[in-house]
Amino acid sequence: MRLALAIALVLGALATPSSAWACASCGAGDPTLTLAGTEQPFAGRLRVAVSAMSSEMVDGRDRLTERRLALGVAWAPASWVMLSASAPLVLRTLETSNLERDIGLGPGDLDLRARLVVLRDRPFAPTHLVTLQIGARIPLTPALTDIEGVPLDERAQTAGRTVAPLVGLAWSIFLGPFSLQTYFLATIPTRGGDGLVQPVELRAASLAMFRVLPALTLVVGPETRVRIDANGGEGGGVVFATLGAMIAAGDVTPYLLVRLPIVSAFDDAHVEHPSFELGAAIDV
Amino acid sequence: MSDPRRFLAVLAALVLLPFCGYRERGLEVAIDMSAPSGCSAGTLDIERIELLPCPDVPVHVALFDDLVSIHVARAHDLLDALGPMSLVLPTESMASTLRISPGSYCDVRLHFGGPTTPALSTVAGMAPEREAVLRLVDETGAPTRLLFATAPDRAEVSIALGAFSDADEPAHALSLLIDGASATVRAEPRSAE
Repeated sequence: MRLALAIALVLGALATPSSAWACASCGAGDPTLTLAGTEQPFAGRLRVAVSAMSSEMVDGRDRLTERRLALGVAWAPASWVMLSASAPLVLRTLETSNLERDIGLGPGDLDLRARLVVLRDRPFAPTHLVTLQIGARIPLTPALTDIEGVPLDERAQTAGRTVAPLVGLAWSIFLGPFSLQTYFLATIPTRGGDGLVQPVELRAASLAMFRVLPALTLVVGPETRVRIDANGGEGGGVVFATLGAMIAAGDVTPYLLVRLPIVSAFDDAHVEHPSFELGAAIDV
Repeated sequence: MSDPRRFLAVLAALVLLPFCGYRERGLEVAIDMSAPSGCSAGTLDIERIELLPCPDVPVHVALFDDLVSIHVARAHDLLDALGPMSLVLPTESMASTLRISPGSYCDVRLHFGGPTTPALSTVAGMAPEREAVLRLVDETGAPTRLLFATAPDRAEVSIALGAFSDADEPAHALSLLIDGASATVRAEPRSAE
């Protein structure tokens, strides 16, 4: 159970889409799947999670920093489905080369999901578990403006502009103190009122987890994010090496994750910096 | 409270978070282009207006007891290109703002495009009939520059178009007035070479 919760924490942090299309690492800490988890759902379970994340990127000579505080809740009405909702409070600061600063503060995207168990090798304590996720990301904040009503730079906006349906598939392998999580998630934004559509985002991760002590689990694995812009704009991908640790402390499971960009292949002058996430999940 | 109600209560709390935006302005140059009465009637299509950094700045460094002069090539430093825009002469005017990086700027370059007024081709400094580079000069005619340090600052540039159909006096075909934070300077077209 504890290992399953730990897995849920990390995989959720990795797999949740970002509202910051100009920043691959931004939004990585959204804890939706932290709550939904990768283990088999237990009917009636209610789980809450909080997380704080810091990330940074350089775009040419512009610098974007993000601080994110996320809160989420998940509930399993049956043993084959888990419903979850999560929303972050986001602070973004964009500093451009002409010394201008745009600061946006507000909710990010409300992330609503249903996680459905589609395949398992046995009813209890399965070794293999395949789950399907469907949901949507819904912007909670209108376009942020300055005091004169002029919209802030898109990179300083805390939420996306349109609803973005998402679909994902996860395969979990549990072998005693070891587990391997492989995950794929696609987020496909709808077309906005201006006729433009935000980039499609694909995420994949393969994460190894080792329970080295009864209360300590270590995490290591790659995470890949690819962005495809249908408007002919910037696109590309980045691979992060993710390192982390989780501690089992009763009903609370705190964790720390560090993402190190090791490969970056964006069309433009994007440079991703390491991001850090500190969080906890609570079973209530 | 039942689990579903707890679920909905937390969900509602998530949606009710506050939001706000704030902008601290940086380095800006307000551009005001006008066409005084008296100039030829027509349409002037302007693709872009640029402030150009001053030319290479020699940097002297000590290397093995010798002074080595390194010329640093400064790239064009433009964030916001103004345009494209169309100016109907002689009555219209336009205004916009350029955002630039810290540094010193010595020239203004105007890019013209589309079916411009034929007389524009007679303007000195246009090569090849598509752009004009205006050097910033002070009131005595000596070269000067707009200098922006690493603190938010703002300057205003007024470009007055007039008499550019007068092919006999190309030097006055375009005039540029700049009201900076500390000085008033005047720009003239560079001679055609």
